[in-house]
Amino acid sequence: MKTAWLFACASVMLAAAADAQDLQHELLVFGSGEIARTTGADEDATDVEEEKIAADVLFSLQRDSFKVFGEYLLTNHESDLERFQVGWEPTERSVVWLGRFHQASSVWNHEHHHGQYLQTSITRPASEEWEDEDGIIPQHFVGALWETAWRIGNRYPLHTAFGGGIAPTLTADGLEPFDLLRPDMGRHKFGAQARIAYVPNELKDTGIGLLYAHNEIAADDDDPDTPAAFDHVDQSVIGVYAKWESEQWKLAATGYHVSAWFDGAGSDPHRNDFFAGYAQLERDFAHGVDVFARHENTLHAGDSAYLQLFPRYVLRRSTLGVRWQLARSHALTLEVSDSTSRTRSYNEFRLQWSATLL
Amino acid sequence: MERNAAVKFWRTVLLLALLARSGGAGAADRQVVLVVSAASPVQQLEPIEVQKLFLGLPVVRDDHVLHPVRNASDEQLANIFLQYVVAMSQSAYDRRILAQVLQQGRPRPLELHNSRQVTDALASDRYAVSYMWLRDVPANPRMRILRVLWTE
Repeated sequence: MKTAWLFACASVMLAAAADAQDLQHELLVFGSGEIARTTGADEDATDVEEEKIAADVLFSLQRDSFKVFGEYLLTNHESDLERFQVGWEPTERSVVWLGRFHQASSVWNHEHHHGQYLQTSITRPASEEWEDEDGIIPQHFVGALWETAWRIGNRYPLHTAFGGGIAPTLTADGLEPFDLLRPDMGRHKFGAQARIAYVPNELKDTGIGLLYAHNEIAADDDDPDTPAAFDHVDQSVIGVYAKWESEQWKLAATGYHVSAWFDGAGSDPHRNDFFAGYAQLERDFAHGVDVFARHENTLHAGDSAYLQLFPRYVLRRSTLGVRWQLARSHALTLEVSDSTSRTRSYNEFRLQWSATLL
Repeated sequence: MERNAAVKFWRTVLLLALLARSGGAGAADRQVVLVVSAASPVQQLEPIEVQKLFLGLPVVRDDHVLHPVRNASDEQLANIFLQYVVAMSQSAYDRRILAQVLQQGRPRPLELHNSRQVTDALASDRYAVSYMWLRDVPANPRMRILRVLWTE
């Protein structure tokens, strides 16, 4: 808490000292409201939130090469300082961040973060889910992140991101990231991630890239009556992604090969591998209508002792939806999914309003 | 008779000259120009740099990132901006700019709704770049035209 307030005070002092033309600032609020229903399983078995209202508040302050940037998510289920980063730009195409950030090896989360309005579909693929939504790959870290676009000739086609920091822990409820507002230095270990992307025309979204992460996820042994059978999970993720866009079509596909093994406390360090991937296709029509379809799948899930810890993780899902941009800053989205978790098969129906409010 | 013919001839020449002059002035007025403050260090911007600037990518002069200022003073100007400067729909442009706030915290381009505000914004920020109708560029020396973006 103290740390966050110190950063906030530093931001205000920075602002007060700055000349108007050197100071840039931004405040942006995304709002959304969602109704979800399932058939074949109840809310507890799926972790689907039946009603959700959310405001995602983004704020930034920049003077010369220094900036402060944050994202605060407030919903009827949670409120979290999702990102809080202090950045330095050694060049106009490079920034070094310190703070809490979304890990570099998820392209989906790098592009959408918590901004529901900018995400064509309502749901995100299960392999990209946040820790508190049954995510299986750590997404929030506290540490350092370096993002750069490399110049080749007159263009900047090579984009890289390297990050490392304090990783989430593994609790009975799933992964739990380090919380800046309620810091607990206890059991956290470290993780590191990388993303290398080739984007031939940076004015377009088309590109391909390689992803890598290695995370040590400590077992949270707060409960002395049920000590964890292992000290931590070593997790390695190797991924590849591709994006293509034309005038009316968009295609995004990502695949992760995940290796996980339990380490310490006399556990069997047997390594389990599984593969998780998805592809989403979108088509723009007239009058602001987008139709989208996504298929995601996880292979060799039954062999993975690590995935056994996430019974509500969606192994397979086929999704179809339509998004209608009904005004410049407002959209309505309808989405239908056929989902299979490790224990249930069910259908999901969702209706969402999303908007830019500020 | 000869005198009447001469008068008619010169009257026609004068009328054509006036028409030509008024037509020329109209064409010049129907231009959109890229403008900066007279004190701006920016001497030139290529069309691809203008596109990058308004798409939120960093364009640098004198070690400073330039600040785009959107002129939303009328609908036709907004349409010309979308079609000829950034070459995308309003929805696609908005999403792209919002994504940069979401990903990097990069501020959105300032969007102003009359030309007077645009002029004032340029006067107060020597790294600001905007566009306006040629007829709206004031005669005073506070503004400088960098290039013509569109001509009817």
